[in-house]
Amino acid sequence: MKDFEPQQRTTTTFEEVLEANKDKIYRISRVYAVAPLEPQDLFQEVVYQIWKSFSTFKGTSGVDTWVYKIALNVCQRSKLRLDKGQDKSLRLDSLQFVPAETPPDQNEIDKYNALQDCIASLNDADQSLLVLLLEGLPYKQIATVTGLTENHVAVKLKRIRKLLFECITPKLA
Amino acid sequence: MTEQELRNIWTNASQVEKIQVDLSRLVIDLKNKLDHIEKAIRNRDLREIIAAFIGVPIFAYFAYEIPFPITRIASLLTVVWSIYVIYRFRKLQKSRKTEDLTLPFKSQLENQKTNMMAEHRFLDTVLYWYAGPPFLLNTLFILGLGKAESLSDPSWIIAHLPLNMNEKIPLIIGLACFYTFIVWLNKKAVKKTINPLIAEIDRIQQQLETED
Repeated sequence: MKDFEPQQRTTTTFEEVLEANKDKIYRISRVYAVAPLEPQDLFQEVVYQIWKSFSTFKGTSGVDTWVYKIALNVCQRSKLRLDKGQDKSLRLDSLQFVPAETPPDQNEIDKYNALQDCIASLNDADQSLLVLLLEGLPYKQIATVTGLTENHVAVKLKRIRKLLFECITPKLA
Repeated sequence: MTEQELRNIWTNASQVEKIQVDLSRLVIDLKNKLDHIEKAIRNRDLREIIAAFIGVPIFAYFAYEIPFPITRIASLLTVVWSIYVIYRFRKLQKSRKTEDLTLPFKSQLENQKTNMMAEHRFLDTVLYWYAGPPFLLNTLFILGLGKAESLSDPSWIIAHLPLNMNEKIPLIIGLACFYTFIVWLNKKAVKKTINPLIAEIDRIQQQLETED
């Protein structure tokens, strides 16, 4: 996983951060977007918040961790419908979503849909932990993003893993 | 199915669409969005203050122009109340914790709850500071109006005020209905919007805290 270390802060630009993190932001947006909000809207909101907060980034944690915090907080706010100001007319035209040249086959789509269903069946707190686990974050980084202790994360993820496998195994059998 | 396979499914999810970023335009777009949002906030704040300030010159003029003492006192107190309302709105805005989306998820939830609780207190107590006082002061204002004949040189404004009980009572009843409606609207907002949000935040906090 590519992460910008704190000491790299002075040379890291917003554009670099966006380029390095856009796929993960999109993946998280896809899980949290609830109609009428689309993943693209949520993605743009996360990008906007990252840009807005970029000057305050102190580099005490890696840029990667910092981006996850913002993405998760924005997505969770949108789920609670706290963002009354989210206006689709404020879409950023400079961000375009183009269908992939080689789209995933039906088997891949089915697998993803099964995974998404299983994530949706979890409670909100568990969903956020699972998303970070699937992103490949170590427990320590998950603890930093969520504000939980590392031990607490480990205990919770043990149970979440079990729930996930119980849910997805019959779907993919 | 292994955990790594699940991670692969997850990671491939971002391959559905290709995200193209026009870097030369992105910062301009973001600045435009920021300007648009800030302008909307500025306009909203201005509207609230103008609405509250309208009462100040009107009732100050009444206090100056209308000779009946009780009405005059009610007018002056209405001026004081209008200023207090402006103060309450400003205080709520300042008390809102600054949105910091770079905080950990758990701290962000605590901030959101603090803001929602402040909003709850603000809306749930409108009877005591927003609807009740002006109703009492308006009633005092109306009941304090005397007879035009008792004045040697009644001003033009006296002719437009309710001076007998037949006019005063329906007006007071109308005001009571109006302020009751305001209280009902705010209570409804608390019940339908604020309380479910606080309950939802509580629920997520509970989920995070629970040791499984």
